[in-house]
Amino acid sequence: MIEANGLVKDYKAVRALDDVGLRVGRGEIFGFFGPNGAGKTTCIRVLCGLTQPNGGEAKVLDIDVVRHPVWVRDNIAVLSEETRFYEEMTPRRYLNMFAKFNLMKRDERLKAINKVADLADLRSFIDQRIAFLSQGQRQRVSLARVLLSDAPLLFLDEPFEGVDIIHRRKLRQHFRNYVNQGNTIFFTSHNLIEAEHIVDRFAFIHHGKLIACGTASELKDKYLMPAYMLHVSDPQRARQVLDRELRLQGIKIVEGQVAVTLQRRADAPEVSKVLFREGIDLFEMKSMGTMEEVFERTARGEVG
Amino acid sequence: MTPPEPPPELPPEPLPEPEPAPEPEAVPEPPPEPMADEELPPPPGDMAERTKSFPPVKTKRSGAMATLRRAVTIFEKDMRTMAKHGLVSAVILLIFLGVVFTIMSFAMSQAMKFDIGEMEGDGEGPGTLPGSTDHVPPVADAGNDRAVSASTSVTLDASGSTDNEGLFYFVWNFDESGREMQLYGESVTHVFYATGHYEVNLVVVDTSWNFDEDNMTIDVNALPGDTESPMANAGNDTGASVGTTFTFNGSGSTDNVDVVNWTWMFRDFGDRIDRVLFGERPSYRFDNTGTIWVQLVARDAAGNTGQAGIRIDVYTDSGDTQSPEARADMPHQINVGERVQLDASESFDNQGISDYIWFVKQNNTMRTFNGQTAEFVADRIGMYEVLLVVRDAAGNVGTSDGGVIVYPADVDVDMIAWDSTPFGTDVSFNLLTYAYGIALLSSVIFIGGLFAKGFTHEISKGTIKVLFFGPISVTTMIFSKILYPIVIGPIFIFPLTLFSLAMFNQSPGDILMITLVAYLLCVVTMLSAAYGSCIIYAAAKRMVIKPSIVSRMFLYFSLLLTLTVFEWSTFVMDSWLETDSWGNMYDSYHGIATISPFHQGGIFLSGQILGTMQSPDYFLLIIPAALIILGILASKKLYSDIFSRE
Repeated sequence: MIEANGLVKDYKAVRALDDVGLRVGRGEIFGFFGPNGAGKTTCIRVLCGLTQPNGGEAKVLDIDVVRHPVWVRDNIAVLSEETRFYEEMTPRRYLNMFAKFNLMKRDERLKAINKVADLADLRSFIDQRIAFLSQGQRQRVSLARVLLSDAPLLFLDEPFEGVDIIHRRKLRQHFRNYVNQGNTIFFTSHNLIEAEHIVDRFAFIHHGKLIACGTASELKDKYLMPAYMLHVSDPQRARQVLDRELRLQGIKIVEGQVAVTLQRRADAPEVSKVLFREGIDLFEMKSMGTMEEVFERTARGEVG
Repeated sequence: MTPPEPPPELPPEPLPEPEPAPEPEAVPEPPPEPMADEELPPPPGDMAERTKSFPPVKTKRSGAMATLRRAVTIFEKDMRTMAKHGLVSAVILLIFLGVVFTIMSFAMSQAMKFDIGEMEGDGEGPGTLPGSTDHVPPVADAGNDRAVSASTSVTLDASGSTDNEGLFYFVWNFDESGREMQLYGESVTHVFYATGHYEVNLVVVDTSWNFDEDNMTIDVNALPGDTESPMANAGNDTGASVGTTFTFNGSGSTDNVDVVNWTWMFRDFGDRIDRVLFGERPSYRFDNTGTIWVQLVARDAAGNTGQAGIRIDVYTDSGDTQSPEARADMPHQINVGERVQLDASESFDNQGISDYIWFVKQNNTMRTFNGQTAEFVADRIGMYEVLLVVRDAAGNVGTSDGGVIVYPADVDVDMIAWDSTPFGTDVSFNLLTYAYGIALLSSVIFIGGLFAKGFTHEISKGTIKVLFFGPISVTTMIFSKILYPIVIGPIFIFPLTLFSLAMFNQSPGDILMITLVAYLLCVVTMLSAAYGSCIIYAAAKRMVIKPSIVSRMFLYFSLLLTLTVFEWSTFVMDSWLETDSWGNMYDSYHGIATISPFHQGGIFLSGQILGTMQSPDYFLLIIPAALIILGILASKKLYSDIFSRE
């Protein structure tokens, strides 16, 4: 769905993108993360045809973005944090306008607007003027605008902002169903913890460079030590058994649970096998590393 | 603890074959190249397998129709804003400009109206012949005050008037029985039928168009003895069918001695040609429809007079009551000895014209010609007054008049502005320019203001960015803005042009033509404004610039420029179409063109294009400049009020 090679974008003396390459396939939710000013927004703008790169090439849906930016935007939908509104409009009229941009017929528009109003939880204010809406409500209107599209590729920047817990779950489910049909979501967020629940593959950008890319387990394998927290029936005996049977980097008991660091992440299945063999019950085995830690380490230039 | 060995790099997964675009010939894309950078991360392991099971991606490429539909959607959005706020602003602006123009119209028409009978001052009028070096005015001499008996012929003689170069033009003005009389010529005769005190004004003009005036009085008295005036009785108001012979009846007039003379005075041919009948019961055949106001002067033997009036409505029995439209074409200025061609072929009537009658008056001589075209030799310098009367079979008449100024042989008439006269510029034609001016100024400021404020608002507030997140291109934006003048222009232009033209009984063809020309000019003007705005759009799309005072000034300047060009073009169009031949329709509005905001610019432009020598009065350019500035300030204030709410 997306292929980018050697993208370079300069703003005067600042290099916002430095030789960025990406490949995003169909049916995945691709997470794109980085701190403020890392080049995240610039990269999205280039991929959406909103600005031209100074070098490199990018194809979206097999269309050259540099040469055919409008054609690309004809086939994607973009949710941006830059969104502003026509304040005089109501959300219903606003969505109707964008449905018309999508060349939807009247019946389709009505159906689609009703559907996205439910998804983005707009029902209670869909006929109020946007000028009177809160920031969270506005963000949901913006999200609804994107969901209205039947594009095979969505660029979503902070799609969950302003959305309550119940609707987040509905939205996550919607996004999963959406990609399961062969579509793709290019997802950015500041919340890596939440992103772990939904993103299939992660890419990290820092100072305009792509510093890491892969699935959560790949990145954790690569950048984090294989440390786990074990909730077991007999922590003391579990520590002895594991220390004896496996090659460990370290093991200790913390607040009644066993904290173990393996030599390799591939040894993880051996932990449960050993405990089972020794008759110790394993209630829960939890990886201690998060994607936030992965990002921190990659940003510092460390490798696991 | 030592970090573990990283897992070996997985080989990159081959990407799924991209689906071909629906219109590959329109956008030839090279086949996807293999990934050169081995470091590029692949999708997750199962992604390629899953991809194979997905149906092909259907990309679309919208064509021109989609662009148009999207442009219409943007236009619709803008229209809603306008309907909510802009129309109110437009009405306010229209009223504002209307008031300003009307005040200016009145002031300027008063200041620049040079009616022959009202001329005052030091004798050096504004109409000094272009190129002339003679600024010495003549000395008018109307002769001594006179006292005459009623119904005697009086000769008015201006032969005592002098000039260093030679006199060119003489006109005698006085009021008789409520009618303004103007007699042309150095020596004219006139019969005063009614007793009374007449103040006669003489204006003489020399060959360089310097002028002077003189006054005299004529007392028309009765004989001594019987001093009682008769009681005139012309009968009651009545009507007469066209083509019938009507008999007047003055037998009801009485006197203490006896009424010995009945004089009936009226104007026929559309109230343009004087007719005088004598006798107690004279007859007259009315061939022209219209209302005839008849003045009867009854005189006794001692010369005492009494006056009475009646009204006769001359009507037609046929169903056609529409008057023909007279159009007289003639040269406006020639050299003495040349032939003057008169042409009425542009006149028209709904049922057809049956009679063309030309009345040509020079000094005290009136000549009459019949026929659609006529010609005569202008053998004397001065003014030849020409009146065209056209009549249809039902007796309805239409008139058109004009004047031919005959110059000495050594004057190069081609170097004289076409609308110049010895009494100033002929400014009667330009009512349409006035109407256009109001319509255009208001609509351009309305739409331009919305552009200016709306654009900068969209850019500064960032709303424009949202549109570009969708499949909206600069082309789409331009399309949407082009719709403004095409759709909105007529809202302002058509009613005003239709009204102003219909009011003067124009032919449908002329109404259509001028409305369309005005519309096209309007479209061109606003397209120019739209173009300027689109430049800002394009820049905003690239986020290169933010609205600055420079970009706003650019927009305002483009509006000002296009408006000026429009107005000047209108002026030249008027000249080209020779709409001055319609001057008689605007008699009561003469002077109005001088307040048309760009009239002076038009004079300048027509001077450049038509090679005339008339110079604009640059001082008057302050007026349009001030109006424009006021308009811009007004629109800016209005629009900032509107958008500050957002």
